[in-house]
Amino acid sequence: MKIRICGTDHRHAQVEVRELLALSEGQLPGALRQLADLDGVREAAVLSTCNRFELIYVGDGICEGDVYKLLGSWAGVPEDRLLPHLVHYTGDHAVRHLFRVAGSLESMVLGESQITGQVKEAYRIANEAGTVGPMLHRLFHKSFAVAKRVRTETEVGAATLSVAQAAVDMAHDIFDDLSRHPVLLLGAGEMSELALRGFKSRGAEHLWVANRTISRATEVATAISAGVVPWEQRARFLAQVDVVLCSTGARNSVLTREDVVAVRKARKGRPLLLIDISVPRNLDPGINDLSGVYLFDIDDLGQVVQVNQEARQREASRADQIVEQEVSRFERMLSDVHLAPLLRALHRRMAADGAQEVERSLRGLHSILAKLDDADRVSIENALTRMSTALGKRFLHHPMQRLKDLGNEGEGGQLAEIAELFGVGTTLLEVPEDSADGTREAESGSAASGSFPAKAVGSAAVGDEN
Amino acid sequence: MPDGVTALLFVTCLLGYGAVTGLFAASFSLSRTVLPGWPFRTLVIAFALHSVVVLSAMLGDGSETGSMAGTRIWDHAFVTLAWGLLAMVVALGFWRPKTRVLGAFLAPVALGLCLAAVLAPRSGEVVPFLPEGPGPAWLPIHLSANIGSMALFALAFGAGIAYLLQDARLKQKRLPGEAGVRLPALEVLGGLVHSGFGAGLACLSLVIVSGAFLAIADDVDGDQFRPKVVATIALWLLYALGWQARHLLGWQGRKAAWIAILGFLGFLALVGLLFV
Repeated sequence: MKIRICGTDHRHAQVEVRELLALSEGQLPGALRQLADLDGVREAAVLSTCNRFELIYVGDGICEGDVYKLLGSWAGVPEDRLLPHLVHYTGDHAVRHLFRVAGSLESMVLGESQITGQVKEAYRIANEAGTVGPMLHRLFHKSFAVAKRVRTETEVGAATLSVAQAAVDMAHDIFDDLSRHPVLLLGAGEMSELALRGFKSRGAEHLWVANRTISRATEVATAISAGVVPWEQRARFLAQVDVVLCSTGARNSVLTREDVVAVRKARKGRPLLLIDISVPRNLDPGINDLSGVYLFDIDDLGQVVQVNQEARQREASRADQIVEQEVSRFERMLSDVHLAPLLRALHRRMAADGAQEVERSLRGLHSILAKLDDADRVSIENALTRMSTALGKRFLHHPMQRLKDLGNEGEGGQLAEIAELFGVGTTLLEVPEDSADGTREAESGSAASGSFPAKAVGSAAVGDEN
Repeated sequence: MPDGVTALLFVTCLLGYGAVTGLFAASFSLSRTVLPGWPFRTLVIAFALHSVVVLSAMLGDGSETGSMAGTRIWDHAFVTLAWGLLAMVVALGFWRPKTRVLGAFLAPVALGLCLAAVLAPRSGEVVPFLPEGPGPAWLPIHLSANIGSMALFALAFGAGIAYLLQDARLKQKRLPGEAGVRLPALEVLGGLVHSGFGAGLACLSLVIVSGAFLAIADDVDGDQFRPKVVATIALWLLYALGWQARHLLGWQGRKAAWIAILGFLGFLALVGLLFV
């Protein structure tokens, strides 16, 4: 039984395929029941966002085909059509993948913060349904810890990656509190509207829109609670605003250096920020030569975005190191959980057998021991016991080391054979159902069959990664 | 407090200011933030030590404390001026963390003042912060207002330098933080310059008025004080111009920043004239 992840994402499938797989919250319970009924699946959860659809489950290899069929039935297409887009991760690859997903290293926008919340939501819903078992409990909790480390120890999510946000950041280098500074939008295109919304979300309260077509200006202004300025009055209105966002389809400058010079006296030295995101540029580049007036065009903002993106990529390599550390730790933890009952059983078996042999030896020496006083007799008994214990430890030392190595390599089949060889049962190799919190583990040697605990299959939330 | 302990605290404090200066200088020259967070932490620690030293001098009897290199440095006005200057930076840094970068420009000034207190040759007698005995009633007010005005004009000076750097970065379209230090918004820096002018002017007015009363009370010779009085009034006029021009002529931003820088350099010259 290994942790497995099967699904697809924005890198492996176009949206046409991803939308086939997306499940609504109402569909999830039924779909998960079907998943639960598959042979060989023990625990499961579903992570479904607009860029990602993944089944995260604990199961054996024989269930893979059934999982593909199930995905095909959910999507309403033959599984052959899905197969080229599906990616399957197993064991430590699956662990690594979930850690990277939770840490936003697999997101379309590297370092975006929504995905961590979506993974948490996926776990929460599955957990509330009582369907996440001990291995997925551990896996999800560890993934949250990894995401936190990535966030706090690297700058992977720190810098702005959109032109609209870069414009707002630039404004914050000039104005501390945007709520006191009116913003004028020249042109009512999609990009400029997006930028204006960015300003509004960062506190700008006094928003104005000017557009050649007044109806379009009114439409945009109504949508974002802004005022409308007649296009012809845009130059005079510069006296009243501190930020100008420009994105029109004009071929010439819609504001010239002279327009700005004309309002400088009325502005009384207040700084003026102009952001031109039009191509071709709509604001006279000479404006930037004026004192207290700052002009940025699309290339200036693009430079900010590019540098930030490069910074995130650099940080991503640091985040990768964190993920690798945590994958190793997680694998060791799982290995210890698997091995602990077996190791204890072997020690107990050796101790019990040793005690029996000491007892038998003492009985054989009864006539000799009877001639000794109590102190000498106890000494001999203790010496025999110590020798038995030491022999047992020595005998087990090498097999124990080998078992740990096998456990780390995930060779569960060989572990089972060794357990059988020593006559301590194979179910000891399964993760105990009641040890999800790491505080209690199954009694060693308590079961003889190879059956798994009851299935635990859960669902997860549908959310938006981006 | 024993002399040795006070001297040790003072030297440690100077090393702290030197470290702050070095960290900021390294950040600027390497174009990346060196030991983020540490310059301000170091500044706070050094300032705490500085406070102990100044309090020790104020509360002590003034006869034995702090002798170093044959001078009573703890009584020296430069040390107290440096303390007042950094008190402003530290308080502002806690209130508005983005302004902590002002330490880059003011820690070296404080360090220079303290070193001047220790090393600079003096032509006259060292002026104690408070005179022994009762003294004229106006003297504590005069000295406190002097320190206050110095600290406030220093703040305007630091904010002015930061303003010019930020303005140049924006004009040249360099990326935020490219110089290794992220500066506050122009609006914040301009506000600090203006506030420094206003509050500093109030203190400087008090300095002039209290100084006049002191001169009358002591019946001093007018010729002895004329250069200082003229320089003080000239500075007062310069700062008053900077303060009022914002409202009347729209002189804010670069012009105000230059006035803050020139005014503070003049103020330093005046302090040197007064105390060295």
